Amino acid sequence: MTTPAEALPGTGRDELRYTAFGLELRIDPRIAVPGLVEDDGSSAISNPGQSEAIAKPREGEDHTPPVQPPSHVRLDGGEEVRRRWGALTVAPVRTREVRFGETLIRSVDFAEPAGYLLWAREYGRVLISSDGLELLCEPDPANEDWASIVSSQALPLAATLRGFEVVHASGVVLDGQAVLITGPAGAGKTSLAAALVRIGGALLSDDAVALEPSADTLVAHAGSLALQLRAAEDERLSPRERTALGEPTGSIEGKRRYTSRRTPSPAPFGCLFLLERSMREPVIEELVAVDPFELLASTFNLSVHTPERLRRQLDVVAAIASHGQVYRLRVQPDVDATELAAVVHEHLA
Amino acid sequence: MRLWGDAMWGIVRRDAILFASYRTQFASQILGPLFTITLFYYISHLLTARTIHSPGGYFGFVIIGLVIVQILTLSLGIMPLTVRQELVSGTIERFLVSAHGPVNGIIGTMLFPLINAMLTGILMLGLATIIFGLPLAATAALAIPVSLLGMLAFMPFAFILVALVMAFKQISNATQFIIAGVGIIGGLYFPIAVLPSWIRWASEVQPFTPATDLLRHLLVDAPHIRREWICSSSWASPRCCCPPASCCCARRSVTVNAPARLPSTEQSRSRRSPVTSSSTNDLLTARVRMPQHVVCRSFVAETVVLNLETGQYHGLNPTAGRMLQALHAAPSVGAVAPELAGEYGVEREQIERDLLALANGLLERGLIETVDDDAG
Repeated sequence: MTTPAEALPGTGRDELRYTAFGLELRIDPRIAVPGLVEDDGSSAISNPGQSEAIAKPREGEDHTPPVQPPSHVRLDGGEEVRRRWGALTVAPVRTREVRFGETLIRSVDFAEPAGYLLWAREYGRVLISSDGLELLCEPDPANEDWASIVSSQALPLAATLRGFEVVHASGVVLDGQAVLITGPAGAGKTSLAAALVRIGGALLSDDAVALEPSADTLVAHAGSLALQLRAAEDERLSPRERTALGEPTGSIEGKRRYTSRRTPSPAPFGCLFLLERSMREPVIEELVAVDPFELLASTFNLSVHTPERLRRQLDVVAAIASHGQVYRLRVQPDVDATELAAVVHEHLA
Repeated sequence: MRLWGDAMWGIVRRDAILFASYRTQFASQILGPLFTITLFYYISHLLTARTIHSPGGYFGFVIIGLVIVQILTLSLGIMPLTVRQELVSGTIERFLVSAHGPVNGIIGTMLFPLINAMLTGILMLGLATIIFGLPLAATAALAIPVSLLGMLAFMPFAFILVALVMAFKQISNATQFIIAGVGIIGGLYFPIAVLPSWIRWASEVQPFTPATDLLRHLLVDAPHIRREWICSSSWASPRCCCPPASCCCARRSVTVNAPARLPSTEQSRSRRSPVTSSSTNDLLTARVRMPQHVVCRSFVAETVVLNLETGQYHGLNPTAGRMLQALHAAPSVGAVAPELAGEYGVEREQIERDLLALANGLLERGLIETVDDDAG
């Protein structure tokens, strides 16, 4: 039987190299995925469970990690997605759907052997093979920004299929350790991450960070490096502060988009901040008894329900609770992000 | 009762802090109704309907309706949204593990919206009086207790909406439908006398019409078209029937549709064990273990048990988590009772009852299985 990866011509040709969510990626140059920075060969690429950058090899062991194949992101030139999905002999199972009011805006369906079909209103479809090695894009031609669905949804799903656990968090590498920030929409995750970048941190992601269970820790891998800042907040920044955020790469939905110039190397998980609104001055409270269900709710991908993934999801949550430091960060809605970043940095120091 | 009060106060306080943390919310909540009052004030200049016998004319008539609509929107409309938010964020199960039960948890989250709605209603009347010269009656203060009673009549609708949210996830249209429907048949914007006779019966059988009439009478001294005892009985009957029925509906909906979660051992004590005496003895002597498809991880204040076949997570409190750990390693369920009785300083019979309730719940959910001695 032909596997999905073999079915398409052009493997290994005319593709650009990227690294994101812990995956080595080969992407069709016609797909301008926002937030990905082309590899210059300096970024470390790891394999799930065997992070070279972090895990120390033991004496007498074979230190050579098995070579993991890259994931290919391709454009559906013909009607390949339609053909594969139409050739199914079993009914697809809807594993996830997101609605805005009554309107369906995103869904994920699964059926073997085709894999996971991600559909997003006004963005198009991406068929992701069950092993996460191939992502076949069928864009909505009316939307110039359609490829953002690749970095925001499809790659996190592929990373989950390839053994990573993606958390819905902004992330910054600060003093060599990954600092993750979760919280409800509008809580200020991006603002705080941007402020941490301005004081010297390296952006891991604005929205989703891939975590890899390693021997004695968790390793955080960069996701999309596009940082989308509210226009009002962007206007408060000086030109120098804007430069620190990266290259300006346009505006979308009233937000200014910046893209970091370089993908940071994987970093050991340091701590997690759970952002929460409050009326008082910023308060950081270390959580001794972490609510595991709150952490589970912070994981990104809810479409993959295989036993391996469910077990890994729980293991990663247990590792966050046991190895890392988890803090509740209570902030006022209009708190100055730069001041908040200073408070966070001082606390971590 | 004091514990219940503390829990309710805690929820109200939390909701109040959250509300106050959004600094523009209060202003927007006032400006919207103010613009509506202004709109109807000028519309009332155009109307000279003979059917309206209210001091202040149509403005005096409609302002009470506007206040009620605002109260309904803030109380009836917010509640399903709050529950839906809990569903979307995956925190709905907090209601289930609440020591006071799911319905009390829902009642707790209803309190702040009700208080907020009440205060906003009073503020609207104040604005209408100060800015637009609404002639408030001397009996206006009596409207406060009457409104509180009226809210009791609204609560069943909120419960039913919560039940619908649990069942269908998205019911924002249903809320609008109810509020708009009440506006038509409750006489909020116009006297029910102008309605065709075939629909007027609907105005008479539900509690909103007499509530609105009575409030108009108390607030602006509008003529009271019903006798007080008729008014009271038409209020009392739905209040006697609807709250219990809607509570059952909400409880059923929450427990059926929410993610599975085991009762804490404290809750288990008050429930009758579903096992019979013979099966109780069997279970006490049986050896149990977690099957291959079940994964268990301990956290500081909770143990999470994951069924890989169903994909459902279950939370156990520390006592139940400790019991599960002991059960997994023991030759029988009953064998761990002496050790745990010593550990927790309670009688062995009590521990056995708790162990049986827990083991029974875990068995029902496929989180443990009994093992034959021969096989094990």
